[in-house]
Amino acid sequence: MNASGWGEIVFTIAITVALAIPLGAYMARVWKGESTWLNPALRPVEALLYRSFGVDPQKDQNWLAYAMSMLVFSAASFVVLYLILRFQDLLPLNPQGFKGTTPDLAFNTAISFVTNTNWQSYTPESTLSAFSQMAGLTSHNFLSAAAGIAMAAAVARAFTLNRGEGLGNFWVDLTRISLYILLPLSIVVALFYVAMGEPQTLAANAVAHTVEGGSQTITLYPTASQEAIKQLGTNGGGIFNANSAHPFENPNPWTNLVEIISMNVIGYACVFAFGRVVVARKDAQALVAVMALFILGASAAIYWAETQPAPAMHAVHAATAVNMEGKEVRFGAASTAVWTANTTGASDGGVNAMHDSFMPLGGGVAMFMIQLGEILPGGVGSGLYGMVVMALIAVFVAGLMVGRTPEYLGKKIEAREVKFAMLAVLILPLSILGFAAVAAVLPVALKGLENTGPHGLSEILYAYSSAAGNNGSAFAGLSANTPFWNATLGIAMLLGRFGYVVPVLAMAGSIAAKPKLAPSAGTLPTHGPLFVSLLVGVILIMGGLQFFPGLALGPIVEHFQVLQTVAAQR
Amino acid sequence: MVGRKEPMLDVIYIVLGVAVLGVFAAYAAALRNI
Repeated sequence: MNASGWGEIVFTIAITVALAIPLGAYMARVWKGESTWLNPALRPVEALLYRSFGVDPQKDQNWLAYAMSMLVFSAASFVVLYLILRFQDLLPLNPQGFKGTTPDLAFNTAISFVTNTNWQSYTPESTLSAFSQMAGLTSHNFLSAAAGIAMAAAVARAFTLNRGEGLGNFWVDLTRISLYILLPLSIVVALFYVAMGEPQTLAANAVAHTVEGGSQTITLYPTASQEAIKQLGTNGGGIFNANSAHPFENPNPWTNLVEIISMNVIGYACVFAFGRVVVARKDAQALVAVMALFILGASAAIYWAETQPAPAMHAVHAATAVNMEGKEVRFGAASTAVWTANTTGASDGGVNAMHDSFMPLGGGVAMFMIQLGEILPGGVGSGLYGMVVMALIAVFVAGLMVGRTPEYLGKKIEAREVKFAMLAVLILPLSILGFAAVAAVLPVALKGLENTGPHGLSEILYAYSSAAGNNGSAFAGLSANTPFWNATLGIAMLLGRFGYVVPVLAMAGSIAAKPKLAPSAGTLPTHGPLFVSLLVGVILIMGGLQFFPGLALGPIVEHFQVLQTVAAQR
Repeated sequence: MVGRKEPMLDVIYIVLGVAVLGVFAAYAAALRNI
């Protein structure tokens, strides 16, 4: 650990939050349907899309209609993507002549990209054609991200209504968010990546001739354009198997910084936009403070863990104390730590190092960040509505303690809303722990494990945490491209995405129908240090109580094994 | 062609994915009664 490492961590988090403020102001205008400086160019395209798909942009939907639209859209996306992957050998832009994927892999991958998870059970550069990458995966990087932000916008509108029910129109939100937010940002960032040397080509592989007379096939793709939306949309699915540890995806520290900023900036901006739409900017700032505090804490913990002596290093009396296994020398431990905290807090899942190679506590913190519910700052949109759920639980707990009816942003929070909030929150432990428990005893699942003991359990627990949390990062050490893993991880992704958002939309509908109240002397302020502390406590206790036993059997016991090994070598 | 020999598997996986989403639609409708 050194001062420049700590400075890099603090600077990265601070610049991300700072950039999210103006972006949030812009996003609020898009959510409210107001004019933006892009209107002259994009308004005709928007109108054409509405006409083509028969959408009436003036027609508001109640929460149930909004949820049904989202589910229908997701079902159609799933079927189309499944067919693209299965029949890629019959489709264009397949210079490598890849065959169609297996049915179970198509199932897993289609769900993965529709749910904004982007878990990859396959090696992309030896499995997918350019058409599958572009028309199949990259398009879903936009659409699944836009769907997440749309649902956040719907939740925000619920707090503005006074005995209302219209949460907006899903199809309008999907269109406007894709056109006005994701596309322009992605174009700018993709051009930056091209300038930094990332490939952007439809050409087939390049063949390099080595000095020993052999030849090496180097896979090329339109990498820069996918890399941009991969991080901006908190998708995280790499165009190469090594993800952002691959030099084509992440060639230097500048692209590394921009990728970290990209994966969190829209998540924070959603919260700032929420504050503007609901006219509760201080309350939104409190939510951002909680998110940034967790990211800072997780970055610090991982940085500390990864600069402790690994047993193998200790055994050979190595001079360095940094655990560089699985890390890129061009990024180092500090940058890897802040990336890892951001990618696991944000449900992004893109990696610039291999989490399986981290010290036990470093990997454990990454897993814990996912298990906290992907709200720090979470996936684009999903982070905001997840944090609002936690805020409602926090004011409910506070209300129980002081004996008053809890309120949040002018809305009374009663039993119905808390039931919806708990239905959402409980889906993650149900899915993660339930599937992990089954996989830990089934021989067909254990065949995919490369490690036994606590590390093997960590691999299982991480896989289902990543899937249900819609994160998508892999712990490695698990051969997941089998019918069992593909099917169960696919279902875990569906539960994590739709099992969470359906009750959240119901909660939004319930909140929208309530009268908007002015704050009174008995209202708990939801913007000061007291509320920030309360919210931090609720998030930690919810995560800790649900997942601590699993973590104790995995990374924590492995940490003590490492200490024992190091002590024995002395 | 990998896996193309078993079209029934395609039907099973597509129906499984759409059915799970259908369950969520039914779940949403049921939540109105809470």
